[in-house]
Amino acid sequence: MGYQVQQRGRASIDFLTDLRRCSNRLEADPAIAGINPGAIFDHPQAGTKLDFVSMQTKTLRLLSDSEAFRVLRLCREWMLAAHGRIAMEAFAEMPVALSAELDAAKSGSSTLQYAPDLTLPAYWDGYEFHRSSGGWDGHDYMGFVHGELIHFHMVGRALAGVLHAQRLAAAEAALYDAPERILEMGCASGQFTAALAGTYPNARITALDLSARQLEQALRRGNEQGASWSLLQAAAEQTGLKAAQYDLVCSYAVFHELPRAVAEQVMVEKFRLCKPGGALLMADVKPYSSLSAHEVWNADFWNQVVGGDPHWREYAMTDFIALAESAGFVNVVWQGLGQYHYPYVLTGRKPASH
Amino acid sequence: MSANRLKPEDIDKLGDALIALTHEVWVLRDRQKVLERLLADAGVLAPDAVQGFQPDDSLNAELGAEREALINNVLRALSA
Repeated sequence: MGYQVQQRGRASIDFLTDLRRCSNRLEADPAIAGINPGAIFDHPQAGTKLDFVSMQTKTLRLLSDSEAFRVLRLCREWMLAAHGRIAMEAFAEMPVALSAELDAAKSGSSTLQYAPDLTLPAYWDGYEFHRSSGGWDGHDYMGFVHGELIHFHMVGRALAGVLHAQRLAAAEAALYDAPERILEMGCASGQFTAALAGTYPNARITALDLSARQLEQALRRGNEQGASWSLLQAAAEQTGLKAAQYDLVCSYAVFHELPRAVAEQVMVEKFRLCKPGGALLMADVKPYSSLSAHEVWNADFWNQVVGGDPHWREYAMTDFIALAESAGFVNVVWQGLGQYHYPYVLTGRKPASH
Repeated sequence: MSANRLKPEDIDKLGDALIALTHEVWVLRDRQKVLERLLADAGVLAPDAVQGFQPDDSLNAELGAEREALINNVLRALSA
């Protein structure tokens, strides 16, 4: 679907992109680049308990003397607080006809099943992940606002095409050559769904999410591609779907948004829905065990402490190999992909005899 | 009268306001450049036309509404 961001929105996104690029240079300041939270945070083992609050308090005390850090934090927190509002403003100045086009784009070869009686889980309902104003559902066209204006124009431009390549690499990492049926949990606006469809063009894809507005954007994306995706509004931990239906059960960047107890439930649900002999695929951010002490501080501070990712640390300190194995998966491997070891991908199999 | 109208705890908000203001300045500079290019390309603008222009009541009202939105954007950061 064609559209053009108007002058204010375009100039605002230019500003955000350059503010991010220019302020990122401050990370090279010796006070920031040299911060070391101590040996116990060097490759911390998943499943162990470490005093992160004390670590962050101590490093923040050291960094408070750094002008570069103070300015970097000011810029990043401003961007976190402002980006959702700027995206909604950019939508508001777009032609009125766009809303009708977005409504029309919901009709096509893909389907969306809403769940009006769904009780939204407390860890999700009303929380503004990534400090994004309006959250996932706070606007009639929030799927377009997030999937296009934030994901594609703001984040995507700053990362220059890397995002889709990462999703394609993750889709290709599945331990299943030609899955006939794929289930994606937490599909949001359908970015990874599109990567799955591109990688496995003959598969029937079912994708679910809690957000009706994000699912609507996934629906538009599926229709635009002429795909027959079955989209469902459902919680990944309790899908209500029939057991053992899918050759490949997967997710992209979902588990770091879940409390540990829910992550366990989702893994159990993935196992239940997977056919015997089927494959597990979970792509997500890097675990702390793969990072140096400095990288642990960096990821923990900018995501967990100030970034609006309240379960990031729990995710990063969870042993997902053990978690998948305890759900029943075998041959489980967890590794980073490509030159930058990102995303981290967990693969495994449901025993054929199960 | 105290010269310290802002308290030390307001300093973060002042920083936020400064970036918000910089954002707004950029949006305007972008728009101005676009307009000047379009008008010059169309042969509409004489070199000193903008510099010497005096707005009428209608344009004054339009400028006033946009100015208010700009100020509110800065105040949002100061009062967050």
